[in-house]
This record gives sequence, C-alpha cells and structure tokens, in this order.
Amino acid sequence: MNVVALRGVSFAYNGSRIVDDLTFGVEAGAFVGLVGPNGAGKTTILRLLQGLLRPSAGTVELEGRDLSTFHRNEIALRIAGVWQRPPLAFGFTARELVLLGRTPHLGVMKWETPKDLEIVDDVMRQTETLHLAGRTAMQMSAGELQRVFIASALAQRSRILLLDEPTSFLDLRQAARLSKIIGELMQCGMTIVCASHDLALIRRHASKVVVIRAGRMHYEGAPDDALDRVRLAEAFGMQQEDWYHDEGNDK
Amino acid sequence: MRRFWISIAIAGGLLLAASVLSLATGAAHVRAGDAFRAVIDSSSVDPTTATIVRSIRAPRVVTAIVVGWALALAGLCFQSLLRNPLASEYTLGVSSGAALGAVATVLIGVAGAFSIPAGAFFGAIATIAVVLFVAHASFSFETTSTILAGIIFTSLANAMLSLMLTLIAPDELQSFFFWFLGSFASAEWGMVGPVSIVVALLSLVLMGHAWHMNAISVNEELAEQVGISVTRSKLVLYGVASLLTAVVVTLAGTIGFVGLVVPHVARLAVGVDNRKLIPLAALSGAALCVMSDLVARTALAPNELPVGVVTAFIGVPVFVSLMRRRGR
Repeated sequence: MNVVALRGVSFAYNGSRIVDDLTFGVEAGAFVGLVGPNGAGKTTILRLLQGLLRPSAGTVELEGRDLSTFHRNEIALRIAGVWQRPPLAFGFTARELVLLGRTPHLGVMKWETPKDLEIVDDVMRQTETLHLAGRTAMQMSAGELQRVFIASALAQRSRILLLDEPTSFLDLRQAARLSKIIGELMQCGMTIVCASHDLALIRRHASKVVVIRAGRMHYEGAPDDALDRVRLAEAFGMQQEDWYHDEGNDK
Repeated sequence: MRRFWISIAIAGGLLLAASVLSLATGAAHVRAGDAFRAVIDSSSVDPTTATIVRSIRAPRVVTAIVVGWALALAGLCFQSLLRNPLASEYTLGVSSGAALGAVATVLIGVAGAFSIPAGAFFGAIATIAVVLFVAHASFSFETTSTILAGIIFTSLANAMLSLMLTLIAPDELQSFFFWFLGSFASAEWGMVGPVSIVVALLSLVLMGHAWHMNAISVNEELAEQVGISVTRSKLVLYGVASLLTAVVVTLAGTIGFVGLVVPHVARLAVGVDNRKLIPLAALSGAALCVMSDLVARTALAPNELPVGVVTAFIGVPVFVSLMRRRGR
C-alpha cells in the first residue's frame, strides 16, 4: 500500500510549470530515489510531498487521504525532511536546532521533557554531532550543519523521511555513515524518498527509482533499469561518450 | 537554566532597586525605606508621604515598568519574525505610525474612552502592513529591505506628524511633543491600570508562541516542517507586537532604543531561546525605563528631560558596543 502518492500533480510558479502531471506512489518501508538533472523539479516534488507547496492541479495523498486535509502538526508527526537551507539567523546551537525536530511532540507550552532530551542525545550520537552540541551554525562547516539537520529530522521520529541531496556536503566517512543510518532506518520500517545525484547511495538502498526530466516522469522502475547508462544519458540530455561515471564503483 | 535564573534575579533586582529609588526621588524628599513602606502599607508612614508615593510617583513608576516591558517584548518579537537584529517597533516605523494614528484621532475629534488607543493600534497595524507590503513588492521581502522600508515610512510618518502639529493651536503644542519624544509625566492609575492587564495578557500570548518564534527565526520552511502553522503564528505575533507598541505610544508617546537594544543584551546573557528571552527582556526593559525616567527627572531638576532623549543617550552607546562585539 502507498503511504504517500502523487496523483496527476502539477505545480506552476510564475506561469512556468515546474512539475507537470506527475503520478507515482511510495509503498510503506520503501526507499524511492528521485533522479534527474538540476532544475528538473526534484526538490519541488519533495516539497509537494511534505505539503510545503500546494499543487496547482492533482492531489498529494498521505495514508490514502488528501494531504491538504491534514493539520501541519499531523503532517510533522508523519513526515520529516532534510533540506538544503540558506544560512541561519541568530545564534541557535546545534542542540537547539536538533531539539526543534521534537516540536510536533511537545506539549501546549512547548517545553521539552527529559525524554525529548534523551532522543536528541540519541540522534546526535547516531549522526556523530554530539561534540557540536554547543556550536552555532556560524561555527560549523556545511557538512556538520547538514548532519545537524539530519539529526533534527531523525529527532522528529516520523515514519516517512524526505531527503534532498543528503550527501551533498558530506565527506566520504560521513556519507558512508549516513548510508548506514539509512540502512538501519529501513530495517525499522522507515519509508524514504531521496532526491540525489549520488547514484551510489540510490543504487545501494532504492527499491524504486523515479527519473524526472523537466518536471515530467521520464522513467519509473527498478534501480538497475532506471539507472541504466543509456536511459540516464537521455534523461540528462548528454552524449554517452561524455559519461564518466564508473558503474563498477557505483555498485 | 542556572544562567537564566541568575540573569532573571539580576534584572529583577535592578528593577526593584530602580523602582524604590524612583519612588523616593523627587521634589519632596522621601527616604527609600519610607517609599518602600508606603507601597506595602500606607498607614506605616505619614499621610503626605503616602499620598506622594502612592498617588503621584507610583503610577509613574508602574507606567515606566509597563512601557519598558512592552517595548522590549515588541522589539524581541519583530527581531525574531524578521530574523534581523536591527528590527524594532521604532526602526520599523510602528511607533511613529501609532503616534500618527493617536494624533490623527485627537485632531479629527473622535470621542470615546478608547479612541486614542484604538487610533494608535490602527496606526501601528497599518504601518506594519504597509512596511511589509512595500518590502515584499519592491525588494522581494528580504529582511534588510523590510528595515529599509521601515526607515522610509518612519520619515514619512514623522513628516505627517509635523504637518499635523502645525494645524493645532500653539497653546496645545507642548502636550503634543509627548508623541514625539516620550514622557511618563501624564501617568495616572486610571490609564496604566487597565493597560497593565492588557500587557500581561499579551505577554502570556507571546510566551505561548515563544517556541514558534524560535522556529520561525531559524527558518520559516523548517518551522512548517516541524508542524508550526507559520502564517497563523506570524499573524498572531505581528498583531501582539503591534498592540504592545500601540499601548506604549498611548501611555508614553514614542520612545526609541529600548526595543532595539534590550533583546540584544538579554541574548548575550541567556542565548537565543525565546522561552528564556521573553521574561528576561521584559524585566530588563522595565528596569531600563524606570532608570531612564529617574535620570530624566533628576538630571536637570527642576526641569524634566523627555525620557526618549535619555533612552537614546543610553541606547546608542550600548548598541555601538554590541555592534563592535558582533564585528569581532
């Protein structure tokens, strides 16, 4: 059964169509990879899936229900996301940023309980960010900040995780660490939708890959088929002889 | 949390000391101990002292507390919403807009007990709406552009205030300087009593939205993701900040720098979590205004300085030092 799905979804901004009549579903416990050129609409699709954008046409469904009928807090209890973000204002520390992930679980006055702090420590340990706890965003590298946001999303303890280029700022060790965390989350039944140019990550975890080109579905299928060199070259509008990716290493 | 409680104790202690000193200081000499006793139990001091302290000086001190409290919270709220350390009700033109609304109400001659506060609130809300609209339409809503739009609107509102002041009779002119420079001279229980209740209620609403302010000041999209209805929260917070500003303008005219400087000083003490900043900034703002009023009354006695002049004299060097600290 699909936990999230797009049904004939289009999204236009300033008169231009970013997403055009897109339909696909994500089964519970699946890892779906979104692959496509820069500007193809991958981030917009993730934002539509989390209800941060409203479709111009079509519907986004969560657990079989129109996403627009959910309250924001209800969505936050079910879906977490890791996004590429602009710099942050004021001096929030890494621990305070991770604690923001607990928001949907906090009471009326939004004070954290010892359990919330325990979860924050757990996810910071898991993402190797505990030593950054007292640092502000200005005092962290892009990769460290990325891991803090991953920790914040994990602190949300939702069943669906949306990842937008999660390895883009990570070094080799931290990318491998994230891949391991993804594996552990999937063993716990987490559903993941990941937009990435990191084909190795997609090949390793994806049960399905959706290839997007100019906001439209280019191909949907098993990773080995979808990430075929000919198909990808076509989706990215490149010549096969320009291909430099080493498929052997990807695997 | 230890740092927070120590900061609260220091700000609370300063406020208490400044209030007692302010109650004791004036044309008639009253000892600090007698001033304190007159507040606690009026029968324990002579009737003249009790009258001076309870009927003349106490309303003024409470007005200064309420004004400082409200200004600091409004400034904190605007800074969090706009993610800009330069934001405050004064720099955004909200104070000038509220003063414009209040003066316009008086000039038009609208009757009713709440006509001036209503005019000030309308002026405050209209200003923030215009400033946000202009910033959005002209400069793609960057927070720095919002400050720029605020500065432009402040100039316009002050020009309009000057224009209105030329229309009133010369003998009424003195009282209208109140709207420009700020003063607690007209403080009385009849006004400050109900306003204190309004400010207390608005403070509670703000406290209930402290976490929302945290998330919004990090990133609005992140706030949405973690379950906060950003549009609704921003409407509430802009409304609260504008109402706090309107209340202050009604009570004491336009007073600058409290809303700008106090939140920064409080951040230095307890960090950026608004759940801790709200009570600390409120107490610190109140203490600053009571101290400023004391200086305004005593520095050139028997003449009285406008309190806005004193807050500017204190606020500017503090802000410059904060900027230097940030620069390093």
